[in-house]
Amino acid sequence: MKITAFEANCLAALAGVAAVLFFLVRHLEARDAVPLRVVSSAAAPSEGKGSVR
Amino acid sequence: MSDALRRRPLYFAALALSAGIGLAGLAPPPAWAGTTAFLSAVLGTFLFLVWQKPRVAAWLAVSALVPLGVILLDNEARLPKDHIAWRAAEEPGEVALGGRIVSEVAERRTAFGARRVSFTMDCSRYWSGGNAADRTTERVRGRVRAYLSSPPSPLAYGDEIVLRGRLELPEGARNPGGFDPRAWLRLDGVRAVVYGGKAPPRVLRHRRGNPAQAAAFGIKRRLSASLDAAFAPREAAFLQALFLGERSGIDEDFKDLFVRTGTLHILSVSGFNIGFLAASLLFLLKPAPISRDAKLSIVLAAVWAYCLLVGWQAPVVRASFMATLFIAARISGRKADALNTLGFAALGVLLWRPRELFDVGFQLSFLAVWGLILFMPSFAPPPAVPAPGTRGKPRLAAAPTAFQRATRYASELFWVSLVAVFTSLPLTAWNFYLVTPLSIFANMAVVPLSFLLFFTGLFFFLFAGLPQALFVPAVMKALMAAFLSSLYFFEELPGAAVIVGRPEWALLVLLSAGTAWIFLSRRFRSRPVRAACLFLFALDVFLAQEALRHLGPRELTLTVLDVGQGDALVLEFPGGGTVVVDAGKGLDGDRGRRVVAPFLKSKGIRAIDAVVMSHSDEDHAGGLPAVFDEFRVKHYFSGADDGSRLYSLLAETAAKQSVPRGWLKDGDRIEGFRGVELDVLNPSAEYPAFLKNDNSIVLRAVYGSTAFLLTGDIGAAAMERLTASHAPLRADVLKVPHHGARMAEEGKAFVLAVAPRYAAISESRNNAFGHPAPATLSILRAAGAEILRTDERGALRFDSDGRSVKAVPFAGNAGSGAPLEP
Repeated sequence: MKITAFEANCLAALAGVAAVLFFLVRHLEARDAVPLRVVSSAAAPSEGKGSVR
Repeated sequence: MSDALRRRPLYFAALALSAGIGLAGLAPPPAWAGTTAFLSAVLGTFLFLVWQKPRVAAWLAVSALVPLGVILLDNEARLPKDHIAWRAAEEPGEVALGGRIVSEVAERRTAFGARRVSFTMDCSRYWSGGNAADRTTERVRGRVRAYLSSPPSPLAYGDEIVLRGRLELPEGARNPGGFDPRAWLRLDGVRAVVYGGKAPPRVLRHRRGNPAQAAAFGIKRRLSASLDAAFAPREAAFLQALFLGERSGIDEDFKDLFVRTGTLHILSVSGFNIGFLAASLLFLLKPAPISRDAKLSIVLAAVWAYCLLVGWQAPVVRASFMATLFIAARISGRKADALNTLGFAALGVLLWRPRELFDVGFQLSFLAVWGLILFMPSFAPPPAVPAPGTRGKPRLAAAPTAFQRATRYASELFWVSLVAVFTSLPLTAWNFYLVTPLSIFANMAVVPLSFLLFFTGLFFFLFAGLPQALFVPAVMKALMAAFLSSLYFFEELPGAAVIVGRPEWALLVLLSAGTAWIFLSRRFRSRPVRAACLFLFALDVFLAQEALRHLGPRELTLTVLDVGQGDALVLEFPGGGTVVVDAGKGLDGDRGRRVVAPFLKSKGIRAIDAVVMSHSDEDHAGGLPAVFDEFRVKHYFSGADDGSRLYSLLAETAAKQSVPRGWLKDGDRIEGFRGVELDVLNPSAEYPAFLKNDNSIVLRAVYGSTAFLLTGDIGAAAMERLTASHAPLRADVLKVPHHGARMAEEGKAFVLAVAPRYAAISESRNNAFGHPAPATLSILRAAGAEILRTDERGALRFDSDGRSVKAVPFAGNAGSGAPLEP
């Protein structure tokens, strides 16, 4: 398949933008990730209670 | 006259009419402006004709359709003084209505086995107060949709009846991203609804409707029954949708399979069916010893008979208009211009029902066909290059082998599917918050299969009674199995349906313009490169949208969704993260799937950090399984096991999906949401398990100096304990416990301790429990809280920036009279 210079430029530009946005989104997702855990103030919980298993 | 206008006048006329209707819908100009513009354009047309300037006259004539569109929509919105909707707006309540049933009578069974019946009725007489004997008859007109919970002996199309019930205006959309029943009913000209009371309707006369329509509905019933008899329930429901446009048997779960694979158009009777019908009939008529024109006329008659059969569903009508013009052109020996034919169909539908322009079904089907006409030439196969040494002379090509023919057909199907999917991409993202990239391939598989199914189905209906035709259902079952397994296959593939949320306006315009440019630009030579650019461009736009979403305003938001009687709460955190607390009821209209899932999807939420079940009552936990089904749930929290069915079901679901589980109790804190403290204030070990409501999980979210208190269904015991515990209870927003059920003294002390600025009550209008109780409302008012109810204002959103809280109800106040506005 032969592609023209214009087509190659388009593909490269669109793929480049996609790559930059992909890493930006990944960075933002990592920034906003929630390290969720449950802290219990009460005495020893019964089976499984008060914590994420 | 210009060439473009001469070649396709109807296309330009349809564009002008759509522009007028669109303008009137989005920014309605004053009524006199439309009429003046229309008259001026008509007058101008005549003047220029007299002046012998036909080109200007033709364009003026077309532009007259813009103000005509404005006038049509304005007319649709204006109701005469004796319209039933005025009665519903001015004095909603118990009435008696006389009129004629003009639709099929739809019947369904609730989860508890009760029969529910609904139909559309043209009203002619009205008695306020519901007692016909005591009142004088008032003549009215207009259409209502009636819902009966205690239906009498069979009702049918054409029956003249007197019906008693509660007359109301239809509800509009209640939740962001949710369904709008008012707009949907209005497409059918229905402007009021009536909920039948205990007394069954009285039938005055039978069969007063159009005899042809009555016969068509009779045939439809028989066809439907023959499908029920020959197939398993789910198969029959699918075939009824495919052939007869009858979707009442399709459950939400099954429908979702089609949505997620981008093949929902198969399930709604549409242009496909008309195409299938015409193609099948032409094939069957091939050996018949009659002229081509006679065959085409038979097909045309069959197409309109099909419209009658499926009850004039808009998509079929629009496809029938198109088929009519194509066939008329063939008979008259002229070549139909595709865009002109599309314009004819659009004009037909819009003159018939102008509001169709705002319907997603109308938009999707016209846009897809429009895209195919305009953009398919860009994907035409490249011209054959003469072999070297032949000096450009065509070689005698060998006849293509079966394999070559099959690959050519598959390639053609692929490009058609690709063009249709990319053309409708902005609309599917806007309306369904999804992109389904694999639907290009899914459609390649299921469209031919559904055509075969439709074709075989014709034999089934024709020869249903004959024992020799027994193989037909077997063939259909095999086709259906292939059809469904390909859908399940595509659904399981990663990336089959990606939730993207409702795009920003600017991004939507960018997506549409960019896609059109890539489709049309002559600088692309290679088809795969053009396709790759389309894909990459869409990817860029959706990634940009995802980035914008993360960079958006940082607030703590609580949304109390309107799920009728029940609770469904969504917390969105300023540093990212989502918590869903309850999801409404699951039986009889799964609120998890119908309300919570579309809401989350519209916001582009794919994963939920925590699902919390406050307690296991059906009106709180029933919708949660659908949430697990549609989203990636990262943690699941509940109280202690109460032995209920829903508790075990959700525990099993979480285990099956390997979702980490936690049990919450008084004194716990859920950590990880930056800037927000999420404290658990209830349940306490003090209560026995059977006090289900008092064992509800109570959460207090604190952000800066603001707080939200979510209380599940707690009752007197828990309120008393919480007040006595001296735990910090103060909150700007109190999700009022137990849908506003009656509170006594302990409730008063609790509300005073919370001192809420806003009291959010989640309940349904006219509920059977008397919620909210007047005593509770008094306590809340006395504490200085502003009361916001989901039955009055739809979903309630509360935004906190850490310093103050702003309440944003989704719907206007029900009492404001707004519902009559267009």
